[in-house]
Amino acid sequence: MIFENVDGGLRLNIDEHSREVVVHLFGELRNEVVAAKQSPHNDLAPHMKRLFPTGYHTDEKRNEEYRRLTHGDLADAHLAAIDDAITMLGPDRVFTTVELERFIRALNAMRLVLGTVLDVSEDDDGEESDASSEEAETDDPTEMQRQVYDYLGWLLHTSLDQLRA
Amino acid sequence: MPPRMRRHNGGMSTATEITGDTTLDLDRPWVVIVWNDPINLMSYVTWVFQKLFGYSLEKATELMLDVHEKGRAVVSNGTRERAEVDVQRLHEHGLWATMQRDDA
Repeated sequence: MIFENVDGGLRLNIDEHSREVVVHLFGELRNEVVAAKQSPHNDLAPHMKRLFPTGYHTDEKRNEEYRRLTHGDLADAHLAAIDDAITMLGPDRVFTTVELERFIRALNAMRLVLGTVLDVSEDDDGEESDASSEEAETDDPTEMQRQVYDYLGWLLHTSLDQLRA
Repeated sequence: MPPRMRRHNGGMSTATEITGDTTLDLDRPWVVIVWNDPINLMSYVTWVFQKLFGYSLEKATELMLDVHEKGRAVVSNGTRERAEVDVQRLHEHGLWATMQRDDA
């Protein structure tokens, strides 16, 4: 069990290397969201546009209005979740169920960005990903990113299980 | 006929909407649609529906499966202002959601 029930909440027990990698990735994502907050939507890279979806399916005029009025707030919401997640990943940090929900949101945001970079398709079944599985070495230059993506999926799925427990 | 005008009391829409659609039914609700994407975990989408809309696990799972298998699902409906709030909350949770007038 990676979640341990302790007095006053939950403690996340993952190895130090994994913790450092996830914190590092959250830091990178934070920098990208800060930059995205100041950027026009059309200038965002595709992987960042995934965190700032359109509000109307086809109505570009209304989409412009939607972006103008929500872009900053949406960026702030992503940043708040990321900041909380970084704090929660501190050593021996005990957090509440409400904080776990924000951790889950931030994990999902990071997975969305990485999955978009990797061009994940329906054929890639992330639901059953197993972080402990060792796949054969390949020449795929994105292999490391894919392993991180799988790990994030496993961590997210496990966190959701903990929330339902 | 002159274009209709509709005044909103709040929300992020313009204060006054002008439309030339003389058959517009002002009582027709807005719907919020969640679209399928290959990245969000099914368990995550189900949890978001439960959290944001208070749906039972059964109802949330049904909607999630609609999204996954049919490509989209209507997850809420109501006034435009309500739809705007729901869409923004779904976006905060990383779901691909849009709003439109109910075409049913």
